[in-house]
Amino acid sequence: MKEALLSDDPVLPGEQWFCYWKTSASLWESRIRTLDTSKVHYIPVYWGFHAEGPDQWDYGHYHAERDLKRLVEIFTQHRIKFKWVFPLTPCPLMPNGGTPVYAARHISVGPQGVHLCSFNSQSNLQKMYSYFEPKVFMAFGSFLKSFKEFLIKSNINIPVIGHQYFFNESGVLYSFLYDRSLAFEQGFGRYLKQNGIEDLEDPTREVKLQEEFINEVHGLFKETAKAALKNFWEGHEEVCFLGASPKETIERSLTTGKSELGYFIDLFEHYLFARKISSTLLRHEEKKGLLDAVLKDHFIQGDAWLKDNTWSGLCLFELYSPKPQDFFGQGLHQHLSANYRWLYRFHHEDFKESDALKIVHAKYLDKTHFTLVLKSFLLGKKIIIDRNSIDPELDKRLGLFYYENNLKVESVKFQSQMTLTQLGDGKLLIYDGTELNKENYQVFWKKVFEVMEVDHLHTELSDDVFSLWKQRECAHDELNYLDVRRVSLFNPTSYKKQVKIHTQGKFAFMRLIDPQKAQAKSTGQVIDVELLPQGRISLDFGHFEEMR
Amino acid sequence: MNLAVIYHFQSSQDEMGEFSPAQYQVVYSFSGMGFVAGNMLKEALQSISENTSTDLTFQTLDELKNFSLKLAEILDEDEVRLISVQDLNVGIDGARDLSSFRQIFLGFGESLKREGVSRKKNFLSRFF
Repeated sequence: MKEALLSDDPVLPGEQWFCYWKTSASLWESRIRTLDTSKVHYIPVYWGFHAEGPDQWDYGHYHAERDLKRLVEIFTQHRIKFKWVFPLTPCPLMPNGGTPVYAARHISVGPQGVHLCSFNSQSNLQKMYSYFEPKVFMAFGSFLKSFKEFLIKSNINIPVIGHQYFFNESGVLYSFLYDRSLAFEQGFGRYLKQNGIEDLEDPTREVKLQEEFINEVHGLFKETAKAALKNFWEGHEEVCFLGASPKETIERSLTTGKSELGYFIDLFEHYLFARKISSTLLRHEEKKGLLDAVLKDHFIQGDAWLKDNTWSGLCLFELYSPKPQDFFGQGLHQHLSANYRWLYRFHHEDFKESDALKIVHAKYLDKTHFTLVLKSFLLGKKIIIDRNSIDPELDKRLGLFYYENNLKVESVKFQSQMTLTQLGDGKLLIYDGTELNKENYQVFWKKVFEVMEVDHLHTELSDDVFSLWKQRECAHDELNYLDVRRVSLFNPTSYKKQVKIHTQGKFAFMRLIDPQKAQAKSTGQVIDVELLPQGRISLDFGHFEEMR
Repeated sequence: MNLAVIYHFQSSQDEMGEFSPAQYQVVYSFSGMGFVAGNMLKEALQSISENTSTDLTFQTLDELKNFSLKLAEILDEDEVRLISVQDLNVGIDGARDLSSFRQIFLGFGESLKREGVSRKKNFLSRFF
């Protein structure tokens, strides 16, 4: 509550961040006193701020605002739990992206050739300086060494989380490390020379090498920080800032600003990729109303999939592929978006041990992932594999797997050549994605999900109405449901919207929660919801096994 | 704020390694009311060219100017400001906050006025 009232405070931009450099040190305590003792807070380390000169780092000797020891003492005195956050890329919350002034030489150039810059919540323009400038990495390493010594000497045993920051421009995710300035060109030239590459006439190869170079530099900053702070290192996170891209910087400067609907589209795009988001760059008036409510109520610590005390994000499908584009041409995204909107999630690395139906592209399968997938099936999970481009070695192993486990394999040709194997609750369906096209994919996926027995309510809603589904176990006093599902519907437009929810004979409508500018009416197996502009409503449904 | 068109002037190379000469590519287009919708851009493009492509790339500066003025006509704007990415970056370099950032779109680049609009308005303004 206290933090909400101070949402315009630059020191407290929201999401439990504490930007110590934004105010006089004498005012730290008055801010810290207002913090919620039940939550963990995050102190981003504005490392450039502590530069007194090259290789000279100050922790309060010259400027009280750099006195991190005192800051920690005040946090401890008021029993506020916190962690350090260390930027591994330029950070739009900080002047110069966090880079010390003496190392800030080239402003980064973004994907459209425009300087990388963002407005913070006080409408100050933060320019990102290139991390490809050699002085930046030298300063970075020097500060890490100094910071570790400071933590040890001051006996501050607080964990450090590394943060990599991203922005979204026109649906494409970019790291804030992205750059095409002179510093990048020079760095890339050195990289080519070190790798003995002299002739680079093939543009495709050049693009690939540039990506490899950027990934190496990304990894370099992360590994350097991890190695330097190893006793304190708690891991790293990727955080996407809303409103941070060069295009959004222009849009936010216009009288109309960026629309709430635009922020919702971005927010839910990030949600599908399970990205942690931050709205700390947005001014109070930019995120008032429905957006603020959604962020506060659902995006706890920036991640709407996280479980709170009771509810966890409902994910019916997990899509595993190196890139989402691997599933293009199969109509999978279209079918999921039309029938199971916001109920799926993309993964490109980690393999989750969850009950979601896993749709795996063969390109994702290396030996480790292959083992995890088959193990998951043996443990009773449902798996669909697109065998297109499968490694021949893994294909042989699959055949052996069936044989060794004495599994009966049914083959059928339905739009695509498929095989289906069952073991207990586990189902393994393999198909060939190259046989799908826009003529047959709708029928294919509908049938496949019937076979895999995906139970959910069918929702009819327009593209500009947003929904978040959550799930919990049923309480003792509830009927014998398998689980309880809650949908929260949001209408960020200026028009009245209708939503229809079909219970399909497997769900019972339980209750309405907190309708605001919204109402719902139940008629048989259909719930009709009306959302006025800026309206929202939540509805609970009990999931039972058999039809009543 | 009037209509602004941000453009990039650069050569490119396709996947086969074939170089294209330097062209003018529209990067962003917006007015005080927001970014210009795709259908408006398409309408402006198709009204000056028989090409049905939606690629906002022009061989000459004159073609870019024609497109921009057509866009201004569709959006009923008196003028359009053409700003290169290089000029925009110079502006960003000097800007510190919202106010100074907005000044970029009022002072940088080249302002193109629609012919006949100002004179017509001046004549009518005698009566209304």
